[in-house]
Amino acid sequence: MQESISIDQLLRQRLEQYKAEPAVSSYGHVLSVSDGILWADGLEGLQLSELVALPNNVFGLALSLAPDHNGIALLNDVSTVEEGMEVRGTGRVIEVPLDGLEGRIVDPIGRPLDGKGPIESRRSRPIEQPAPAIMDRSAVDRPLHTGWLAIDAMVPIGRGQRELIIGDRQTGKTSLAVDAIINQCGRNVRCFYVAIGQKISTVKQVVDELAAHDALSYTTIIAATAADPAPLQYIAPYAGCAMAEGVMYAGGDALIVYDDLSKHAVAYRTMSLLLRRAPGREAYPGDVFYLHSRLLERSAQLSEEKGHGSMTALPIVETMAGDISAYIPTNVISITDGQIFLEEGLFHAGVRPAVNVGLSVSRVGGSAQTKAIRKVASQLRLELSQYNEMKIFAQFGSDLDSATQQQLAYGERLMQVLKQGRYSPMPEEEQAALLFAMTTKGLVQNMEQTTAVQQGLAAYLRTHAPHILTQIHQTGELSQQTAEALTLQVENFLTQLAEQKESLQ
Amino acid sequence: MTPVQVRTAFALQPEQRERLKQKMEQVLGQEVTLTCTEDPSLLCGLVVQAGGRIWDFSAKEQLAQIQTLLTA
Repeated sequence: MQESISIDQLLRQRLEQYKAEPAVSSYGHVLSVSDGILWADGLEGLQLSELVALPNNVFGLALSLAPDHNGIALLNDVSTVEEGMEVRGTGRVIEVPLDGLEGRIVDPIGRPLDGKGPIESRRSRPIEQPAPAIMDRSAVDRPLHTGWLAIDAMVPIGRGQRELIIGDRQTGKTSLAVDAIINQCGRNVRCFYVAIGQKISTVKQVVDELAAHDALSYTTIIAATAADPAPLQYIAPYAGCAMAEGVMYAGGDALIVYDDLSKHAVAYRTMSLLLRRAPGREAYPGDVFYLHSRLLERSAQLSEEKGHGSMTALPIVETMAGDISAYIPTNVISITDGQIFLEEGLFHAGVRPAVNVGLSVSRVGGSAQTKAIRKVASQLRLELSQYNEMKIFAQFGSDLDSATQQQLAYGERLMQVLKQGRYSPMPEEEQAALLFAMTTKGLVQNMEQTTAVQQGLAAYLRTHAPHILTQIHQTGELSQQTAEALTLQVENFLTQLAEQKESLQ
Repeated sequence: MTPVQVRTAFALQPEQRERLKQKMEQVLGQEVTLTCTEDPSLLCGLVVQAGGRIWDFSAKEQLAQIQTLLTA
């Protein structure tokens, strides 16, 4: 409880802190400027990544330090910069605001882009920070539900994990992440969406989707679009990360989406080449791995002593022709705690989300699942991999024995039930019930029943036996008793389905 | 010889110029040439620019610091 304090008391307190000291800063002059990079002399005592200021409110980032030859990447309007202009060091690194960000769209320096007024924030944080220390972390053991059945069952994500979403263009990567954000409604997870190098129209689309599904109120969008200079795109993920750290270190849970790190690497390459740094493989600079590792290592599950907050990261990387062994993809795969591989072939064949189950993995796995889902989903990956192997034989049109035919039919039913539309996140208890119905022998036996169960079981349970779903939701478990009750309900549902079909004939 | 730019609110007296020149030579360890200009917006005090650094001892800067302190 704060004691109320009068205004003149407050002013006196503040004035007492004042010390008469000169302001010392570094300065230099622009030697040359081109392509968004300027070279300046002087700037004695300039620090790496220090923010520098020029006339006309132009700012730059000091990235290359040498006596009388400092390389500075400009962050905004370059048209007013002239040779000979004065450059001043601000003595600070870039900081971003931490408060007042809910529902806002900002640029990587924290300036509003949505026209809803200035960002009012008491706290701010430098965008570059060390990652949480070894002893400040604890194991990832709380689930972060994406609402996607395929993900939560087979590639589960925990709070504090980094899970990569990787695939060719137009395979549903952004949709996967955006729907995961939409599913966080009411779950006390602060969401951050960092748009790097994207078309402004695409960012607008994401904003509209989030707004339409009541997700904007707990989400902040940080945008450095294709129209923004490369240095701004370079700092965007770090800025978003710092804002999410504000939530994590205060004991809260944050989810951050980096869309996408491929464009981020390209922006960094652009800047590095213009700063005359030596190009390496694919013309990327030598530290392009560190570019992403230092970003992603800042996502973690903190220990109890440090407040038990978490930051879950969903970085997105775009592949060319499905090549996950290219430079940037392999880099980021080795940094993250697993990947969700979205395949173009699957997408066009109607399997959406187009998850390649064989190549997708979550290195956290079962510890990030509720017991109920872990129980019913444990065999899913194995069944699907067996199904995929057998499918190849079936294509030869040979006569198959009944056991093989049944396995194929079962696999097809599983594939069907894992398909999910957009904006329809599935709560954990419904996922558990659905998977229970599908994996229990003798219950669902053909494709017609599968689609019926997929579309109608949840609603049926909510009407006829809501206590089952509530129990699973509250305990996180599927007890023997609940399983028996659920079996009964599914049987009733299927009987009702058969009766309806008969009465229509 | 290092160039040093000095801005003051009021014109400096010759002996003030000399003292300043000697002090800067002491700080920088080199001979200096002073260039003095007047800038009434500083109110009082002086701003010295040399060798990549600026030392702002003006009242204008101090008032700006106080403003930041009070309105934070």
